[in-house]
Amino acid sequence: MMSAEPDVLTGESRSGCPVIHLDTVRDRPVGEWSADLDRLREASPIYWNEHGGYWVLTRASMVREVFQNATVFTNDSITPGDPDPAYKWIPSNINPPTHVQYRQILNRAFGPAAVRRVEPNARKYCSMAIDEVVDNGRCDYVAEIGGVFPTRVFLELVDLPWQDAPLFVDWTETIFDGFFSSPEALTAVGEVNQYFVELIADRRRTPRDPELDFATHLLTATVDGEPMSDDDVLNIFNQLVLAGLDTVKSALSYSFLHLSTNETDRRRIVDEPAIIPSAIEEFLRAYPLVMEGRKLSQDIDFHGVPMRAGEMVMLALPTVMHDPDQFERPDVVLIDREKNNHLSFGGGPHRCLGSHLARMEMAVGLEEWHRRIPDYRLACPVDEVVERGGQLSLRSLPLVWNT
Amino acid sequence: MRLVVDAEKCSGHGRCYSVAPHLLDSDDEGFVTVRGETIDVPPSLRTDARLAAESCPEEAISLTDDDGRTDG
Repeated sequence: MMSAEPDVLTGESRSGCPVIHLDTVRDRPVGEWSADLDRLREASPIYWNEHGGYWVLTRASMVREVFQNATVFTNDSITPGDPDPAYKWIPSNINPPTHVQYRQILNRAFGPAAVRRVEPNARKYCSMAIDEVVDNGRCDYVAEIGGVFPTRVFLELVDLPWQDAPLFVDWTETIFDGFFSSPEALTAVGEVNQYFVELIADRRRTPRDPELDFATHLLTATVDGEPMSDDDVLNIFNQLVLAGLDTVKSALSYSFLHLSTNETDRRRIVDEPAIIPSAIEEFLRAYPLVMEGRKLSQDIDFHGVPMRAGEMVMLALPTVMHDPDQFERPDVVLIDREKNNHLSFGGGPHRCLGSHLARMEMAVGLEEWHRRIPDYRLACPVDEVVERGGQLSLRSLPLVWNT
Repeated sequence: MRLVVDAEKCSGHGRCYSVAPHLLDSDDEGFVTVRGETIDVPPSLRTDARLAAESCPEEAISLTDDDGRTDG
């Protein structure tokens, strides 16, 4: 067992809640964030984090309540340490009822039917990525597979050339490694933006069939009866890239971390591929990535804790999805778990837009790999696998197999 | 048995129609087609209905048995 960091609990309390000092953005050996947060969950459902200054919720029932009450727990900010963001993302920072209009425009492109249409090409792109490594007997799953084919699939889904994938892989890595604020990260943000500025200008000059071209679809869609501005469409494209690429890579990486260190589950995936959809839900439950927040629109009494308008609550999904009140044997990965109503894609009106896409990509990623490379293992001791904080992610995942 | 999908709570996770494809289906946006509706569950699909209710992250699906009691 890894020990709790002595500096997390301060010994202070605020409105009856323990005060912690938790800086969630450092690199640590994989599993330490989750282990620390699990220990906190057992001791109290609500904390005040003096580092960043926000409430932290650790129980599933409370987090579901927050997701479903978008009037009180708004999306004016979703970054726990930044209640007044300088920039409003569409649709992440838009509240109901306007929010639903944006989601209707986007849902069509990201719904199950649209996702099914790109699945054959997703399989092709995944297979191409595996072709690159299969004869080497080793790879870094994160850099060579998990980060590569979902980017191609995303570009396909939004009707952009998949050959541009390497650009986006580099940009998202630089942006997330620099937590959106290093000079390199800001340069990359500018380059992503410029890519879409040029795309939008092109489609304004020469519109395509909105049924076949996502950019034209956005440029011709209306909100409150008015067409969206170029700036709004640019905003949406930027947000899709920043929200969509790092997370799928990470979800796949954690799945392969589990399977490369668990012989029984790996054999079962190989011998019984029909278990894969259930295994995916369990990997999503066991390894949530996102620790986002909501901003209070008014003063409330939340389960006995007085919270004030303008304050933030952080929803600690990496431990919330291990809540024993919600899941039996929450600390065990059960790839055939039956009752699995996890909230790893969030909930309420802002439920992850890309969830259908992510599930398809994970299924393709698991199916194609295990068909080609059924016997593989982690190439280093598990405690050498490093996890990035913030939005959780593996730095690398070295796998080896016999060729 | 009857199955009700709470339209306010349903947010289109898609878990219900994925685990119970013989009972529930998706619309173009990814919401279950019977959002906000009550449907009769054929006896042969009761297990599917329970699985759909248990899989819903929003706890938006409720079941009642033929005597009107809440079930699951």
